[in-house]
Formats: sequence, C-alpha cells, structure tokens
Amino acid sequence: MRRRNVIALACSTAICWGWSVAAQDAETAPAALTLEVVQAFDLGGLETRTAALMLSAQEAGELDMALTAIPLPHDSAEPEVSSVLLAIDISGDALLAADEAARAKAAEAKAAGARVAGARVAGARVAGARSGGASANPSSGDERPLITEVYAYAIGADSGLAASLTQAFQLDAGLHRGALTGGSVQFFGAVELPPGEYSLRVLVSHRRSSRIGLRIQQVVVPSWRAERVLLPPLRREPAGPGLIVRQAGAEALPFPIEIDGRQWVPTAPRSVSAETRAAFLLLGRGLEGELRAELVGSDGEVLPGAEVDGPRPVADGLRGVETLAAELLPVRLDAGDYRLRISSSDGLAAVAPFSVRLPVSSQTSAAGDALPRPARSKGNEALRAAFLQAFEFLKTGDRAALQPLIALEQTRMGSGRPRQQKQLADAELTLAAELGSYNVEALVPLMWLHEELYRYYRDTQRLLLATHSREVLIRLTQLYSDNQTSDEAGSVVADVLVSLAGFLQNAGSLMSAENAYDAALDHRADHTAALIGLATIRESYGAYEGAVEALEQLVKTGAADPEISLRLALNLVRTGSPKRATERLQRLAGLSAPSWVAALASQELARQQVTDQQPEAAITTLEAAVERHPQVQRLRLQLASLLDQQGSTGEAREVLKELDPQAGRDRVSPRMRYSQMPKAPYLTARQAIAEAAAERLDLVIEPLTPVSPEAPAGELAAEP
Amino acid sequence: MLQGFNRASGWSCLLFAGFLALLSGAQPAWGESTIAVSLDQPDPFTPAHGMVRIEAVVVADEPITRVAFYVDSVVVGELTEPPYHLEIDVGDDNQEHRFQVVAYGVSGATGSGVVTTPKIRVDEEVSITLQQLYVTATRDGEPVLDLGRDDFAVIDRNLRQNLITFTRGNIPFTALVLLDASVSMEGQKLADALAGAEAFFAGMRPLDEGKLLAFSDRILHSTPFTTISDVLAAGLDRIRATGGTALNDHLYLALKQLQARQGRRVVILLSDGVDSHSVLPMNDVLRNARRSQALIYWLQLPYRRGGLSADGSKLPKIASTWRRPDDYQREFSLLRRTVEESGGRVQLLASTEEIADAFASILTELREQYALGFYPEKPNHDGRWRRLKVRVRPAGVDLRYREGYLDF
Repeated sequence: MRRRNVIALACSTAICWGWSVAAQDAETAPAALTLEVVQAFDLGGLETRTAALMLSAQEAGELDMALTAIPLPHDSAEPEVSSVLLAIDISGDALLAADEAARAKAAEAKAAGARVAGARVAGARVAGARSGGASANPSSGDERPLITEVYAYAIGADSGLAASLTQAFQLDAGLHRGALTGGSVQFFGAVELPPGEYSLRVLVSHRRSSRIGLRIQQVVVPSWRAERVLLPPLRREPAGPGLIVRQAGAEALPFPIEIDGRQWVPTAPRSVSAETRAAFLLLGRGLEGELRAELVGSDGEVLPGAEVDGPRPVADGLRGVETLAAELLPVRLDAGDYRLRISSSDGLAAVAPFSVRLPVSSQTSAAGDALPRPARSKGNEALRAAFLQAFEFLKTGDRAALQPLIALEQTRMGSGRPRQQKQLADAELTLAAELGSYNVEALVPLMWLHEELYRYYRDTQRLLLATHSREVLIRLTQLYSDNQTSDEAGSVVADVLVSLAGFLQNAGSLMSAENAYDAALDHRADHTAALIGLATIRESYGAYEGAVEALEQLVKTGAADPEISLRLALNLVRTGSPKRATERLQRLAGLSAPSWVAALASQELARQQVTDQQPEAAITTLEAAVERHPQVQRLRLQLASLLDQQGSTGEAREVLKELDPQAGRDRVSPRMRYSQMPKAPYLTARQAIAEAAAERLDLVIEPLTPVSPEAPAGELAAEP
Repeated sequence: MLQGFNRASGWSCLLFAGFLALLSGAQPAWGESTIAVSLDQPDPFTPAHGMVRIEAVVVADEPITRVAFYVDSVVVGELTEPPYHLEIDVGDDNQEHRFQVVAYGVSGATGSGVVTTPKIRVDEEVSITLQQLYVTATRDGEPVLDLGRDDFAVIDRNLRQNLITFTRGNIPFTALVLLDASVSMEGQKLADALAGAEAFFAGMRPLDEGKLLAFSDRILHSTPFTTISDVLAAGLDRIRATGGTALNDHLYLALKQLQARQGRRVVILLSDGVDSHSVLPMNDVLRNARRSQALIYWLQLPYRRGGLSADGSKLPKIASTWRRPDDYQREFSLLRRTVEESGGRVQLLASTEEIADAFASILTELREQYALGFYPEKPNHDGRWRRLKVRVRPAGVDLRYREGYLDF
C-alpha cells in the first residue's frame, strides 16, 4: 500500500458539519486512515436551483457520478433502525473539468468586466461572474480550492424528509490532479432510517462552476427482525486510482470492507466496461437456498449470453449480515442501462426481486461522454404528447396547439394546493431534464414554450398557472445556463429573460421585471433591451441615478437613439446635471422626427429654462414648439400658464382660444408616450428567442415523439 | 316665478321669439295691443360688473304671459309674474353690457326695453372688484335655508365688510364637468360617470350652463358651454377610456375656460385625483383657481390600486416616470386644498355607483347657496391672497365658502 497524501477538511451549515478526506491507492485501502481537519466554512444551505433539481426526482447533471445505498443493521439499541451506507462515486475527470471551466469562465468574466469597466449598471453583474467575484485564469495562478458539496435527502413514502446529509469537501486541484485524473472520489457517509421505502436523492455540486450531478435511488430499508432479508448487490470491483472522502465523525463506517482477507473499497460504479468481469456482493440474512443473478435490459428481459457466476458464500464480510459473492462474466454489451436482478427460486419468494442500474460504457464509445442516455421517464406520456403538440404552435403559429397542454396543466394543477403545484412542476422539470440530457439545446424551445404559457396564463388571469409557468421558466434558464456556457447561450438566456421582463414590465410587475432584466444582464452585460428596460423601471421608481447609469452605458455602446438621449437628458436634470441635459434637450427640440420626442424635449427645455429664471426663453421655446407641433395640446397649456404667470393673461387666453380639442385626441401625448416601455428592443429580443427556439425545434420534437406508437399516452408504466 | 325649459325645442322657441323681438326693435309686433317695458336698473351711466340687479317695469293693455331677460343677447332669465326683478352676475371684465327685457302678451304682442351700461374708461378704471362669496350653510349636515343678509358677517383683515348684494337660491351657474376618462376608468366606471354627468346636465335649470370636458393625458371629448342638456349629452357614448391622467393640466384648462363665463362658475371634477402626466404643477393650478373664483367640487373616486387613507387624504406610496412618491402626495394634497379653498368640497366615493347621487347632491347644494357680494374696503392691490372669514349669527350653523381672494 502506498499512501499518496492525506487531507482532511471540515465545514459547517447551521450545524457544523465535518468530514475528512484521505487519498490512497484504491485497490488496497489502508486499514486506518489519518484524518486532519483543515478548514471550516458555511455551506449556506440548498440553493433554489439545486433544491429544484432535487425535487425534480430526475437524474441529471454534468458531474459523472454513481450512488449505492446499503442498509445495514445499526449498532444502536434500536433494532429497527438501519444505518444506510452511502457510497458515492464521483468522476475525478468531471471534477477537474468543472474546475477548469470555472476558471475559464472567471477569466472571461474578468475580460468582459474590463471591457465594460466604469460603465456597469448598478445591480447588474457581468456575465460569468455569478459564482466567483474575483477574476481567474487557468494560466494566471488562480489557486482557489476545488470545493464539492454533497447533499443527500431521503424522502419517505409520505413525501416527507426522513433523513438528510449535508457535506462539503475541499481538494487542491493541483495537488490531487494525479489522483483525480482517470480516477474518482469515493465519498462514504450514512444516514439512519427506520424500515420503509425511500427515495434517496443525492446531489453533488462543484461549487465554483455550479456543475452538478444528481442521482436517485429507491431504497427499501428492511426490518432486521425479519427472518430473511436480501439487500441490493454491492459492487466490489477495484475502482482504480482515487481519493476517499469520509463523512466527518463517521469513523465507524465499515469502509473499507474486508472480504476474503483483503480490504475492498465498495464502489458505486458509474459504469461497467464491456468485456470485463464485474464482481458483486450480495448481503442479507437467511440467504440459504438458491439465488439467481441475471443481467436484464431496460425492458426487463434477461440478456442472452450474459452469465453470472455465483452467488457463493464468502468466509467473512460485513458485520451483522451474511455475505455472498457473484461475478458478471465478460460479455459484449452495447452502451446503455442494465440491471442486475437477484431473485430466489424457493425460500426467498417473499422477497421481491430488485434491480440495480448498471450503466455499461462501450469501449468504443467516445471518451468524455458525461452521461449515458437516460431512461425515458415513465408516467409522463400525456405530458410528452401535450408538449409535442404544443410545439406545433412554434411551427404554425396556431395557438390552438397549446390547448391540450393548457388543459393538462389545469387538470394537474387542480385547486392549486402546494402539493399539486409541486407535482406538476416536478413532472415538467423531470421531462425537461430528460430532454436536456439528450441535448441541452433542447431546453431553448422549452423555455420559449413556457414563456408563451406564462403570457397566456397572465392574460387569462390564471395566476396559479402563471406562477407555475414562470417558476419552471426560471429553472429552465438556470438549467440551460448551467450546462451551456457559450456566448451564444448567454444571449439566448438573456433574450428569454428580457422577453419575460418586458411582459412583466408591461403588466406593471416592476420589481419582478427588474430582477429579470438584472438576470439578463448577468448573461449579457450589453443587452440593449435589458438596459433600456432597467432604465425605465428605475426611472419609474424614482431611482434616477441608476437610470442614468444604464442610459449612459447604452450611449457608450452606440445603441442610443433620440428617445434614449431624451431619457438620459431628463434623468440628468433629475440628478442635478442640468447643463448637460439642456444641451441635449436643445438638440432634441430641433429634431424633425420622431415628433413626440421633439415636442417633449421642448416642454422639458422650457421647464428647465423657467427653473433657470429665463421665462422669456421658455416662452420662445414653447411658441416655436406650438408652431411645430400643433397637435400637441399641452404645449399650449404650458405656454398659457407661463404667460399667466408673467401677467399676460390676455395672451394666455388667446393661446387657449386656439386650442383645438379635437387635435391629438387619437394619439397619446408625448408625456404619456414617454411613460410607456420602449417596445422595439424588447420585441427584437422576443423575436430572437422565437427564432432560436425554431432552429432547435427538432432537438425537442425527436425525443418527445413516442417510441412505441401503440403505447397509450399517460399510462403509468410499472417499475420492475 | 322662474320657468324652466328642459327640452331643447322649448329653448329654441324662446330664443327664436327673443330674436324676433330684437329684430323688431321692441315695437308692438302685431294687433293693436301696446306693451311698454322700461328698465329702472341697471343705471345706464354706471359700469356694470359682478352681481347686477335688473329691474323692469312692464305696462300693457293685455295680460303678460312672460318676461325674458337678456344680457349681451344671451337669455339669462324669465319671469311670469311681477315684480320683474332679476339678479345676475355679469363677471368682472371691464366691458359694455347690454341688458334687455322682453315682455310677451297673451295676444303674441311683445314689448322690450334696453339699457346699455358703459365700460369704465381706462383713465378712470377702478380696481375694486366685487367679491362674490357663494356660501353653503348647514346644521348637522342639513341645509339651512332661512338666513337673511343680517345674519352674515364677512370679515376681511379684521374688518366687517359691507354686503352690497345678498341673495339665496336658484342663482344661475355655469358648470364644467371635468371627467377623468383615463384607462383606469375603463368599463362600468366610465359608464357610471357619464350617466351621472348626463343626469346632472338634465337637472340643470334653463339659465344654467354646462360643459363636459373628458380628459386623460389629452382631451378626449369637449362640448361647448350650453344650456341645452341634449347638446351636452350628445356624443357621450363615443367616449372611450384611454391613456394616463393629466389632471392638473386639464383642471387649469377648465378654470381658464370658465373665467370667460359670467356668473357663478363651478367645476365638478370626477377623478381619483392621482395625476401622473401633467406638465403643470398643482401650484400653478391653485393660483388660477384663486383668480377664477370658481367653486370646485371633487367627486373623488377610489384609487384603483387601493391603499388610500380612510378619509381619502393620503395616497399609498406610488411612483411613476414623472413623479416620486412625495411628488404624488404633494400634488394630491394641493388638489384637495385647492378644492376646499374654493368653497367647493371633496366627496369621497366608495364606488362609481355613488356618482349619480353625488352629482344630484351638488345640484341641490348649488340651488341652496347664499350669494354674498362686497367690495373689499381696504384693497392693497398687491395681488396677494387675502383670507376671509364669514360668520353667521345662529349658533350651530356650519358655513362653507371661498376662503379668500386675490387682491388685485
């Protein structure tokens, strides 16, 4: 045995969590590990994004990982409680890739920050800097540690949280690169659970890049009072080089396992290479009699040619349980999901057959495939069909195509109880995660669709469904941006968020709109519509300084038109820079088009001239404007009032005599026009996202199309 | 006794008959009957302004059916029995006024008398303006209608003023209904508002004038000033709620338009009072309200977003492109002050269903007001706002009146 290095860390949440990391040769684990606490920090709990993923109950993410859960008798006096051992295998390559991506993104953000330095909008963040702050460059000595978070939730049959584990560990990417390259991190922990059936959801997150991996496993915790118990098979293949991370304070965990006089690291295999032997342990009690091990496909059919050697009893094993060994003999397999099914032909008839997913990677498959093609989620056929039809709207513009999906969402939302809302969101996010795992670009049409639904629900006052659609949309933008970091992807997300923000702003939901614009600028710092939207919202709040910042950035980027210039001028007046404003207003007042900008510039110029104690100049300005814009009634009102103030009541009366009440009746006044959101940039963003969705439509249509046409939509398929 | 015409056709006949009488030079029109009309008041050598009393003497050899009064060719009143006396506010402009009284006999014969009062020559123009106070008197919320001239005391800078004119009830008025038709009034609200305005116009007496100005961020509908309710009601069904609210600008316009009218001037504003788009500050409007001496009634609609204080005086925190929250509250408070200072009142409505009753109550109140006229005894001519106090002798009577005047 050769010790590579030892590092141990600790962290804290509300409770202080600690853990240890030991690096070692995986094939021969040490009998004892040296643990050392080196750091503590606050985890901060689950983010909404990760919580949403957990709740989605859909395996997803870029971090290649695998999970094995093993219920074992607990040492405590409570015989019914099991200590469910968690073996989480995280790809070292995936962690290193995430770390590199985060560094590259930070470096890019630094470069983008430099480009917009001095012109950033308050509250807007530069794209790519969300999880960082300081810039980083892979080649510029960015030495920040590789921090990985581990969340494990056991959800009971009543949907309640039965147990949880929240851990994080920190590695030195430079120091551990050798162990991680081509290897893995084996995280070992445990949760205590009483007998029952649980959905164990484990999420691993690389903090800096926000890349995640999520695995779900159904766990049946047996009652150890039963005479016969059979547990899921435990993989005991050598896992190659890597690191062991042990849950802090869990030194009693029976890892590594000593079998046949040798120590093994129990692995939760991410994949099995074809044409290799795969060794398993079968654990339980009362295992006398014949046990049969079979390899089955995702359709539940036994694979011809796949042979399993064993099981056979082993001399020693895990404490408190009987241990049998089995081996999958080498067989040529295509990449895909397989299950090892253990069943009894006699005395264990009462024990339900169970299976474990066994992803097999083909030796000929391309290196770096992050995830195997996921299983088609079951029970979502009606939803698939409705989504499939809804996308006809994108192709044909026929809104009737949305109706089946709308009807389905309404039905599933029911009375809108939180549980119903959650189930609907879970189902749709599950489907989205599945589609996104085929191709992340499939999320673009989905985003577009949910935004359309949101608009529809708002317009028809179905507020619960509108809230649902908006939440799903936000989660999709997060999911997409987490998995796609190109500039184009940033623009797509920014367009989606601007489209949403524009709708919200138009509907008067200004705070939500501002948040959405801010988020859009996170993805594209120079997004014209986002900056205009932000400026107009801030102006309407009376936050004139913030409005000036956004408008000046627009001017600098060359996106300013007369309207932007007018807005900047007015806000400069409000923020105490009247001289700069006056110059702009004078230029704008002389413009020929658009007339409302010129008319309003004249009004505001005259107001400023009055403030500057130049009433005669103001009268001249207004008289000229009245001449040029006879349809703008309120220029006359302003002029008459000014004349009144100057004691020229007769002239004022004459000015008003000329007021034509019919003039301008059918068009909004310049001041009203100014109060309205500038539509053109927002419509451009909206058009862009529609086009982006249309370009990617095939990516979502194909996986949504039923595999088996005769399968009735909406039927819930039984899990084996 | 004043006789009203509610139908346009009736007024048309009267106007047509008066027109014929004017053309005929007030000579006996036909038959042998003779009707002679002379005017004891006003004095043809004294400039007429403010409240003017017209006293006509009619001598005829046949029964007189009615006597019509014209000022500057506009019919201002009609009596069916003697004494043929009428008070009318001719405004404060320095101009000639032509007073004509036409008497109609049972045979159809007519006779008339005319007095033309001169304008004041510029070199001798006096700057003392007759101040007219329209006073609403109530006790426990109920109108008090039996007060006499001596029951009132008008105090200006601690000096009791000599009341030159005093009258009560049925003083003709010119009312401009200023209707907020911004988008927040969409639907039934606008329908209720228009129905209320229409009922108000229908309830006016023959000598009352009306005008409707519907506005949002622009003028949406405008009628002429007219006594004919059918004219006022025409086209109301075409008004559509749209746009933002520029209340200050259009209240200013309403006051300016009323300034050119004679007699008692009234603005009835129907709005939530929340101005978002005006270019004029309420301070400018207040200045013009003081100058115009118009009574302003504000039927305050509930603020559509809620959050208004129980007495309707405090807005919730709102902001927009043109105003910060403090600006909103300041303008809102100034509007209330402008209304109350004018001698009108703010009536907070719980819903638009109350609009019709609110209009009716204003109509009743206008019919029951007292008119007190006086010349300020010690004018300073400095253009400043002079506060007035009006006291009333019976205890327990509450008075509402214009709180002051601009001392020009």
